[in-house]
Amino acid sequence: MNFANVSVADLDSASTSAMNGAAFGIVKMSHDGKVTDYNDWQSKFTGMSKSAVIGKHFFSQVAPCTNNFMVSQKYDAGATLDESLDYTFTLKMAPTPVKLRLLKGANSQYLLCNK
Amino acid sequence: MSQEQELERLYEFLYVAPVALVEFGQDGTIRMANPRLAQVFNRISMGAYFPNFFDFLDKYIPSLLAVIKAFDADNGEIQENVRYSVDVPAEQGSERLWFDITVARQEQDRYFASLNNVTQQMKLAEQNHYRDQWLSAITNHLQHHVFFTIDAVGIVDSWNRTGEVVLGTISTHAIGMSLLEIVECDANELEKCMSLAAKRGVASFSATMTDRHHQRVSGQINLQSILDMKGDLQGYSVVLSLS
Repeated sequence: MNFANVSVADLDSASTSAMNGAAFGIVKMSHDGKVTDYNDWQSKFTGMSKSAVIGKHFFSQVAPCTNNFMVSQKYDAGATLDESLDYTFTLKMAPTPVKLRLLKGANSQYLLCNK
Repeated sequence: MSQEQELERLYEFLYVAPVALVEFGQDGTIRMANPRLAQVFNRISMGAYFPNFFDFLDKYIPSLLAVIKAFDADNGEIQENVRYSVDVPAEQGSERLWFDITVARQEQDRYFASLNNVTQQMKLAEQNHYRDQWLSAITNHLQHHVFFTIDAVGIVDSWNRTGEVVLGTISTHAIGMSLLEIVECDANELEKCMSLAAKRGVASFSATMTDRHHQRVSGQINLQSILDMKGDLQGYSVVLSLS
């Protein structure tokens, strides 16, 4: 799985183990922003286990720093989305420049995170 | 709860804390920060990354940087909730964000700061400031009307230039007076009028009063109820209109 060119269809069909094998973070969400999957990379770098974030609203309960027009509101703009941007996360409270990829398809939406 | 779960809860607390927190060293190097601080950086410029807090301050809040550098005690509170503004890009154009910033020096090489976004409060305060100026412009130019407020039992609790110009009563004298000392009317009639205004919002009656030339003049007294945010009566605004 490649950060730059993985598609929504690839992610929709990926098994949990395939997602856990990715060398970047994957947050899978329903269209209302609830976390439905959270891969090992994301868990390792945020310090939050999958069980702690599943079912929570990603933009308000997990990563409120993304609850703005640059990230969360992009998902509301249309039926599909594929946009990359530079961002700063505080992974385990260490400010870290990351690259985000925002993806949205018919069934789910994804936030990909790469250092 | 295992140590791992406790750590996770601590992370969650810091991730969702509604205030930006940062720890930095004597040279400004950021050692820890929570997502709210990242959000401030990202608002300034998408993907903006400041490994050094002083670089951020130098560019956007240089006066705070000067305050921190001037603090020469080994530890202690440098400042508490001092307000600063930062202009950031918005979805359309730009926006001014306001922060209350507290900075403390924990040890010689260890500082903590919190940045509390108070932009919404500032917007409300600004609206009130504009409204005050607008009201002031009106009251400064009225010749035959007096505006003031009374509390729920009829005691003057605010006064302005209109009362000085028309009635010749200065603010320090007027505040604390009963409305009955300003207008000559029957106490029962005034009470009735206040009850009516409390019930319906507005009420008026006629009365006489003494103007600044010590002449008795007649006029109309209009009362409008002032309610607090819960809808409870706090007093009345009064407009005296001289005939």
